[in-house]
Amino acid sequence: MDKNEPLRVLFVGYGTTGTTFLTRLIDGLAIRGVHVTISGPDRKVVDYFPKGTVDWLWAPSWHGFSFLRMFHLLLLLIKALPSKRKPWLRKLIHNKGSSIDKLKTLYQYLPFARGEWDVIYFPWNSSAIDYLGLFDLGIPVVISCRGSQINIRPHLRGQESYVELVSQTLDRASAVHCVSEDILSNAVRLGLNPAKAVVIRPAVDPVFFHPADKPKKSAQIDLITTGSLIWRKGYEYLLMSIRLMKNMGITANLHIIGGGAERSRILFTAVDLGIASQVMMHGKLPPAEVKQRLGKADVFVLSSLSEGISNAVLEAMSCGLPVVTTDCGGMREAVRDGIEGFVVPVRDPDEMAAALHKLAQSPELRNKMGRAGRERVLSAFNSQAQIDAFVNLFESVRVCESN
Amino acid sequence: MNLTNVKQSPQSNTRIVLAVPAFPKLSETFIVSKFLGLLERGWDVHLVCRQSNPKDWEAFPELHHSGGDIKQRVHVSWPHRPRWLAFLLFVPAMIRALICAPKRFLKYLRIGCKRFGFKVFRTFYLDLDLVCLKPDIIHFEFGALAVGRMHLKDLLDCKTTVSFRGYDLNFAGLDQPDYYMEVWKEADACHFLGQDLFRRAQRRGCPADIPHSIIPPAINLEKFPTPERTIGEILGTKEHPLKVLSVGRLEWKKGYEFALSALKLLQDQGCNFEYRVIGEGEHRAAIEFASYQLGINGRVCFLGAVPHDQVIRHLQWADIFLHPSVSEGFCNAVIEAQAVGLPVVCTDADGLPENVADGITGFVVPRRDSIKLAEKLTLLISDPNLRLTLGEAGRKRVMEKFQLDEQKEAFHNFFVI
Repeated sequence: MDKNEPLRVLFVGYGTTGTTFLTRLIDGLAIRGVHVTISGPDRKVVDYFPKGTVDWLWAPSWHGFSFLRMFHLLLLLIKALPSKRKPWLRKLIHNKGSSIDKLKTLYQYLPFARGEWDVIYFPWNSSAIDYLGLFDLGIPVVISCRGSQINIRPHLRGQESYVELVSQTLDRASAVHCVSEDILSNAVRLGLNPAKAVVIRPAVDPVFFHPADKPKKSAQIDLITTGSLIWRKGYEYLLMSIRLMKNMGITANLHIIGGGAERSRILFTAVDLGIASQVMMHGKLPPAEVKQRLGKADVFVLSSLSEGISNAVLEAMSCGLPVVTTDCGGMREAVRDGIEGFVVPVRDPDEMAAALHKLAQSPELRNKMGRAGRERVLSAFNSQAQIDAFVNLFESVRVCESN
Repeated sequence: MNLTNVKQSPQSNTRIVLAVPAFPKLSETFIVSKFLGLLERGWDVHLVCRQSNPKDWEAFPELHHSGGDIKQRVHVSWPHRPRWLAFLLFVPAMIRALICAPKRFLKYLRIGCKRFGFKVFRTFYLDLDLVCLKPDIIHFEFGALAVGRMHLKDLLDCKTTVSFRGYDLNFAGLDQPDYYMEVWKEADACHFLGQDLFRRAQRRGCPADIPHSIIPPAINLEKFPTPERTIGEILGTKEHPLKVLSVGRLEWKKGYEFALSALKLLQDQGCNFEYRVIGEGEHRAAIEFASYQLGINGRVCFLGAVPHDQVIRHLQWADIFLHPSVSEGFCNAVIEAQAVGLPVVCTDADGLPENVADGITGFVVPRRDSIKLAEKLTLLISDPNLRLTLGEAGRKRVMEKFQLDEQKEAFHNFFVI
């Protein structure tokens, strides 16, 4: 295959809306001339991108048996008629037991009966597991290992078959992308061969996330944290630290940006700890407003119990904020203790309060660490370099396979 | 203030309708026993719920052999989702109300129209069962259920009473300052599980002179035989591992993460233990992950939901009952643990200090404080004598304070308005 031909990448498991970092990645790939196709049930997935840059492959999802489903199936069958991949489909169906399973399998894989791609990319381990059949197409596969699917779910009870499937997919992939060294070592424990793994850390756009123009004037300390309101973010421990700081004589405001199931837990805990007036919940905000809020804050704090590597922290560093983060996942790879901020143990409100206290007391320290954070993002978490690394990764598997 | 003897009415002519979300529920046995208790006293009790699972009925044999008409007294509301179904059922609903309770139905529409305009049709559909049952008293078993329903008092000419059990005061509408205002204004009487909840209600605007009763939960002691407990060994050794039990849904409110941190401290001290957790819930992943992250996975056993008779077996297995909640109405499980003579280590969340006598039947420590939890566990491990004394005192406390018969009496009095 000619190396100069544009690279064709199929995204499977993008979801119905996608996440900010995947959208940015696809955007970046398209700008570099990579031909990206996203499979999904709805054309909306490509609406975000400039017209004509990203293709959409119609892959409807199965929600129970219905007439609409059968109509879809008919359409898919007609579209797949000229396909050369019929033996592949036949084999997939053959392996299924009941006829409803056969039908579902057909429905799931028919969209992929036509179309030429150089690489199939699964942005999540779970999508690779859902589309196990695509591994048999003879097209190289790349999987991303990002976070909870590698460092939480395998450790829960009754996940033996999930663990088995994760290691099976990692084993069959041509290359595996990990968001941090920590995730890589976790994935290796699940059976990943480190020789085919590549660490590409997340990145931010330093032009968009830049330090606020005007320095803040008020003496009030404003802490900020962004992320979904889910248990993994450990907000209860963070609120306990705010309480401890209050005991030390510092009344800091905490701005929480994000939405989710644990809202009532945060609300209750703040009331229960007597810090309700200091805790502001802003809900989920668009990136421009997040940036604005970051500009008004003094310290970014992350209380997570588990992370791949937090994009939110990188964005805050890019905005020149010092960071206090828990020591989980790849966070140490972004924040070095004492340089860009402080790294404290998970589930340890005392240590977190002590670190926040240090920063609250010294504007000089905040400035110094904030500047160091901005520099670090510019040198190590640049979005341009990240996209280049992805292009290289996809190119390398194409070259390998064609040789 | 007690409501006794304000007006003694023959209760058989008084119809009480209890409003609950689902019935019967394993985690809400207290509603079953209240329902049966009031029936025993001769009240004409009915119950209205959104859901009733036949499988759950099997878990409550007492609902079957205490008279055949119990099922007829439980009314499951007509579905209001999907909307088109509710729409279709609306005309049958009107016909039903016209046949069952024509006068009330017309009054409901007449007054309701003035109050709600066209929306009266929606509220009527939601209130259908209550309209048809012609209640004298409507009792909402949870505070949040009463919000937005106080119009029933005028529309149906009945009294309304409300139970507050914890969740309603701690979480429901926490960011809406006047969430319960209408309830405080209109309710004829309120029931609180404990003094602490009443204080919480006052912090949320409840007037201090509202007619109310404090009735703690209670259990049937006959169901909790005391095992022969003798002075045991020093625990936590290889031969005699410490056996710790928690019973409660796997929710963040139960504070399991703090219990696991405490046990991690115990493990660091070289203590050998086994921790069993009975309960199921949506916070399961977080709790399992905590157990893994803290490195005590091998010593922790999540048993899931367990039928009541087997819970007793686990209570008899355990040396110590651990209850790490950050929010708790009163907690029946802790009463049950005391009933079988288990020393309890719990937090000071809400009603727990009224439940466990600190230093007498167990230890009460500040919530979210793993170190204090671990300290008390360590103290109990090394003192077999103390474990026995606390356990015996616990049984005595339940006998004196949390007996089902007395509770039934209290509920009876509550409704003699």
